[in-house]
Amino acid sequence: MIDGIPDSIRSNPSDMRTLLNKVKQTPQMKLDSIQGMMRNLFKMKKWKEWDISIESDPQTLESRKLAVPQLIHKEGDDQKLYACERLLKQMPVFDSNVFEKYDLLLIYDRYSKNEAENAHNNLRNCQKSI
Amino acid sequence: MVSKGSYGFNKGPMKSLTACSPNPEDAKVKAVNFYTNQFKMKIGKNSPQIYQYALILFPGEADEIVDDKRMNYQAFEIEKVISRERSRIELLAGVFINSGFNIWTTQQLEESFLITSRLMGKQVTLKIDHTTEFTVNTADIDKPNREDCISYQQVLNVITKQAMSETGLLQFGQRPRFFDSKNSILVPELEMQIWSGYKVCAYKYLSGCNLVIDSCARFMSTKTVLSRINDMYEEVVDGKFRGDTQRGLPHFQDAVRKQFTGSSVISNYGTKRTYIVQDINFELGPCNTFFTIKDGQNISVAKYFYKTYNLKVTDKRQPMLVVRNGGQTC
Repeated sequence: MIDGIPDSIRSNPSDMRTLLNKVKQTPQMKLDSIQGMMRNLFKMKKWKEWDISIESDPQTLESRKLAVPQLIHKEGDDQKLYACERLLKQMPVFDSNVFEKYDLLLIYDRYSKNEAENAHNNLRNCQKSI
Repeated sequence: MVSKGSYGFNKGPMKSLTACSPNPEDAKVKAVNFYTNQFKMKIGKNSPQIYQYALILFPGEADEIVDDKRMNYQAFEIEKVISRERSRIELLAGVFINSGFNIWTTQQLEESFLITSRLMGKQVTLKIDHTTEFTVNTADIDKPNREDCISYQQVLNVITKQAMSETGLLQFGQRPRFFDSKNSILVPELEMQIWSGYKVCAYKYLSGCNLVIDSCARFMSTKTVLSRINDMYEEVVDGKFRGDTQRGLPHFQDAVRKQFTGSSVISNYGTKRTYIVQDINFELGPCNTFFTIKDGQNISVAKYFYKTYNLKVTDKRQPMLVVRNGGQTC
C-alpha cells in the first residue's frame, strides 16, 4: 500500500478537509480515547513484571482564568459593564489612530492562507469605512 | 488540554454595549483545572535491581569468536536472535528486556554469556558482555539529578513499548507510535484509509516519572502500488502513446520511478512493515527474483509469499520494488 497522503489530495483543500474531518476529535473525545487506551494498557503484565504502576487519572494543572475587560463609558455612566473579548471584536470602531504612516506586513504559512486573506479583506473594509 | 469548568459567557450576539455582562463576577480571576495527557508512573518497592549489558553478535560457533572479527550486525539481527533464544536467556539472566545493542536484566551476571544460535541459515554467537555492566538503581527513582536518570528513562521506554505491543497495536518504525490496523477508517471517495493510534513515551521529570500519551493518525492509500503502476501504464503507454509500447515504455518507466522512488510503502501482509522505495526493477519479476531464507534455501519471491503468507502472485510480470532492509538493498 502507498503510505501517506498523495500530492493530488494534499493540493486540494476540499479533499484535505474531508480527510481531516474523519479524524477530528473534540478535546473531550480525545481525553476519552486516551483514557480508554490507558485502561487497556494498565492490564498488560509487563508492568507487574517490573513492579511499575500508573495512575488511572491524568495529571491536572491548576491555572487562572483572567478577569474580563471592564468597559468604561465615555458619558460617565455609573453602571459597570464587563465584556467578552470575542464580542468586543465585533463592535464598531468609533475612534482610531492614523494608520497611513505604518507599513503592515502580513506573514502566514500556506495552511493559514484563508485566514490571512480574511484578515487582509477585513483591513481593507476598515480602511474603506474610515 | 481540556478545561474542567465551562468557559465563555454572553453567548448571544452583542448588538450594543448594553449587551455586555453587568455581572461583577466576570471581573474576578477564576481558578481552573486542566487535564493533561500525562499519567504519573510509580515504581514499586519490589521493583527489581536492573543491570545493563552490551550485546555483541559474532559469526560462527562460540569457540571461534575473536573480538576483532566481529561483523557489523544490525540491531534487528540481534533482535531476531534474542526472539529465537528468549527462553534460554531468561534461564541465564532472569526477566529481561532488550533494545538495540543493550540488554537489561534483573540478575547480575558474574561472567559473560555466549549463546550459539542461527541467523538467516548461518551459525552466529550472541555475547552478553558482563564487562560493560551498568547498574540502574530503582530504589530512589524520584530523587532528582540522579546520574542514571537517562538510563532509567530508557528502560521505562523499552518497557512501555513492549506493553503497548502487548495491547495488539502495531508499531511503525523505531518511533513509539502504535496503530490499530484492524479497525481502519475507510474514505472510499478518496481511495484512502486511516489508522488511528497513539504515541507514547515515558518521561522523567524532576518531580518523578510520567507516561505521556497522545492520539495520532496514519493516512494511506487503499490502492496497491501495483494497481497504481497499472493505471500509469494505461495513462502513458495506452493513452499518451496510443499503445506504442516501444516509444511509450521508457516514458512509463521514468514516470513510475519519479512517482515511487523515495516514497514510503507498507506491506499489506505479515507485520505490515514500512519500506522506503530505492528504485524499481523492471527487468525482474517475482518468479525470477531469488533470495536465501533462514534454512539456507534459495527461493523465489513468488514461492516465498505462497509458502509464508499463503498469497499467490497475481501478476507474474510485475516489476520489483527495490528497498533497504536493515542496511541491505533487496
